[in-house]
Amino acid sequence: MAPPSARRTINWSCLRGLCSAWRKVTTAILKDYWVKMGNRSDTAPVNPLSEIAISAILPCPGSSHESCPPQIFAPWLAELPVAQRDLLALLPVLDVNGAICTALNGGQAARPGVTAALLCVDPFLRVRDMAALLKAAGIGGVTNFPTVQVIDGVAALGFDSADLGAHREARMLARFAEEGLAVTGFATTAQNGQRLLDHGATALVVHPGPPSVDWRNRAIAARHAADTLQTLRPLCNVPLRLFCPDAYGAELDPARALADGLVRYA
Amino acid sequence: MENTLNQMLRKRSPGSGTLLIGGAIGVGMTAEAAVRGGADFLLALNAGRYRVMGAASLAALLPLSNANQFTDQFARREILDRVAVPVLFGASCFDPSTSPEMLVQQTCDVGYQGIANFPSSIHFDGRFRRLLEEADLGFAREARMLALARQAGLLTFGYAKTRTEIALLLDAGVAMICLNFGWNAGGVQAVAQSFTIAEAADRARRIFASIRSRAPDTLCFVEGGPIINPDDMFRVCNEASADGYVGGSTLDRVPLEISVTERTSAFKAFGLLKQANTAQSRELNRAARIAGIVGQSEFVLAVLEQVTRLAGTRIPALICGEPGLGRGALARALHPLSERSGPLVTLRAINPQAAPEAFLFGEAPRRQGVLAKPDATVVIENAEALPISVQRRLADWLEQGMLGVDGLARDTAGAAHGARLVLVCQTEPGRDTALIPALMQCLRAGRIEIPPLRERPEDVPALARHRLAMLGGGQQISADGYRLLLAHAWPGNIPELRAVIDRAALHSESEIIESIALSAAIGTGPSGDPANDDHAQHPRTERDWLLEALRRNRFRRGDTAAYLGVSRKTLYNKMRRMGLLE
Repeated sequence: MAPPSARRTINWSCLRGLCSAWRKVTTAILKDYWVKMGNRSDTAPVNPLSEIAISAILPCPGSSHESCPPQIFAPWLAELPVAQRDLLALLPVLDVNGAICTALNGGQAARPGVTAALLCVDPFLRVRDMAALLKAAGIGGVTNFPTVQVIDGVAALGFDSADLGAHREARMLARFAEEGLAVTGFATTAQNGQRLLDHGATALVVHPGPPSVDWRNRAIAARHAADTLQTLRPLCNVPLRLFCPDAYGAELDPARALADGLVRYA
Repeated sequence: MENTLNQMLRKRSPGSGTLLIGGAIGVGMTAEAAVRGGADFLLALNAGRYRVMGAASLAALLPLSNANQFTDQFARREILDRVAVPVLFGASCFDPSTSPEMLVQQTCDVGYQGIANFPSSIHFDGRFRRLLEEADLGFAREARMLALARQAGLLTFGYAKTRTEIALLLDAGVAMICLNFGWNAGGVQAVAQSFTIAEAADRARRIFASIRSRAPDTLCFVEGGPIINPDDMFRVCNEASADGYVGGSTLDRVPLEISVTERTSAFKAFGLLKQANTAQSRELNRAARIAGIVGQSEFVLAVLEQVTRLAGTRIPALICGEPGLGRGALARALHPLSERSGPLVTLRAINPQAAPEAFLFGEAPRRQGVLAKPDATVVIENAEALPISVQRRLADWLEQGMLGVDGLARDTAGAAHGARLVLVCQTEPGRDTALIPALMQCLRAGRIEIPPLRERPEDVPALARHRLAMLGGGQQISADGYRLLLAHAWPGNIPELRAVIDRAALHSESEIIESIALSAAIGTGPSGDPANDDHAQHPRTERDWLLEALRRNRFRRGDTAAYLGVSRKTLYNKMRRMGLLE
């Protein structure tokens, strides 16, 4: 029979070993769960280009480029609840372009490098008037955000058939380019991206689509976004960014690694 | 709302023979017109408003405004309390800040008699639709709103596309269910279709049978997709035993497009007629009268100006164009216009008995040719048929005349007293004349090209009016008739137009020649021989024309409408007016 001191030593050693093993297992499980819940992992890639913020407020005209990152100006975001804004931005609950006009007619002025988020399939949008308003406010670029490309299925065919689909978006952006505005194109597929490039887009943002509450659907969308980035990469020599809606987490990491930069809500 | 619903249920009772018609509209004028036409109820929808603003109905799904505020605004101002039928509010459930309870309460407070789920999630599918349902902004929310509306005593109208959606509407106890076949075909802004008429009828039949097995009092409606006219509606409603039809684009956009286009075209035609009195100068009018030229197009004015200028000179002329444009008359008109004292001599080169060389240049030493006659005008018709040797000799003669070595007598200014040469040539589309280059070179300055009628349709009304004036019956052509004449290509040029006007005038019983008579006359073709016309071959009244056209097309209305050059709706209306539908 071993002396009491020896018995104590063996018990402590076992306990330490068990604790260490338990800590490793629980950490791995929690980390996996954390990632699956849509959170970003600690090994997320770093992109070479600075992040673009989508914001409802314009930075003050005097602020320097260093203090304020590049921005997409979307004043209509202020009208939407954060949790559903990716979906609601494409539904008849607000006037996207009207909100921009109201904000800019109210005297807001932008610094260079700000891009206006427009509903390009608006059948009542007059490019010449909108371009004049944007230029007067100091805004030098436009983008098709929200994009009708996130509507899929038979509905998308209907939009295309009524000339309210992706082709119209590209055409309208081309007309803004003719008016001297820089065009950033949001694209959900490589085909849409290629079309936007053909119509004068000088930067592309791959859109993974509005986030689902189901992480498996998000993972599928994220994989599709990565595929789109990979397909577009050899086809274009313009900055290729990735839009990261809030609810997406580590599922987007592979796509993030392929992008030159990110676009996020402010 | 029980009374309203009961009234509608009585209307659909067997033997009433009446289909309920709902108008999905977005502007006061359309609302009142639809009610005058017999609409049983109206749906105030944002899509209706966007249509009259010039966009497709699909714009109703886009973030162009808050749909509920947008619809409520125009409905209150233009529709509510102005019509004697129930008005249902098209309510959007997409806005999370407005709960179904709030929507129903607001609808009651404003004074709408009912509510419908529009714009609806039924128009989305795939991933986007799944996301809507996940966010509780989809169809379940719409069905909840309709259930609440029923409890609040509102008339409930549910749009649905699938059996799952219909099951939810039945659970909600919705009074009227509308099976939607997608956005409407037809018109300028037609949307690609998923269903044919036959498929739509079959689908509606099966779905309505299942609805009635579960809720017999539910009123079943059809809407959209391939149904674009009353015939289509009748076919689908008849086969599916539907209680009614809801028209949107088919009640406003499509008829408005057709009507505005036709009326504008008719006004345009009259405007062109008026221009004829003011645009031509007196001198040009004289030239036109002598040459027998009718029309006020830029082409005609240019030709008349050229003729007037040429008349004052001795430059030889070449008049080219397709057959049936009055080239010969124009060539001969140059003689009186130029006030030459000599004779007008015409040579038809195509005549096999003609000996053109001897006729033109004479037979030395005894006979002088016509070209040597002082102050004469020599017109050679079908000059392309002249032998090459004669063409060469003519070219030499013209060239010598230019050089003053032709041996003819001259005045003190050096101008020759000999004949003036006018050649008339036939051209085919896309091809030049068959004259030799040397002759063409000599005639280049005096060349007049008469364009075919298809290139100057604005001359058609004037020509038609001129022809009617010559016939002397005091008849006139209707505005729609002018539209039809303007739309025809007139491959046979002026003779074809004259024949059509003659036939239409002969068979038209009234003083106004309607489009249907002209259409039938055009359909007979330029080859039709009026001498062989008899009553059996050419019916006399408009009703007869219509019947004849229907027979020719085996009573297929679509083909008949196309054959007559009218819309299916116009044909349908005419058939109804003449009692051909019974």
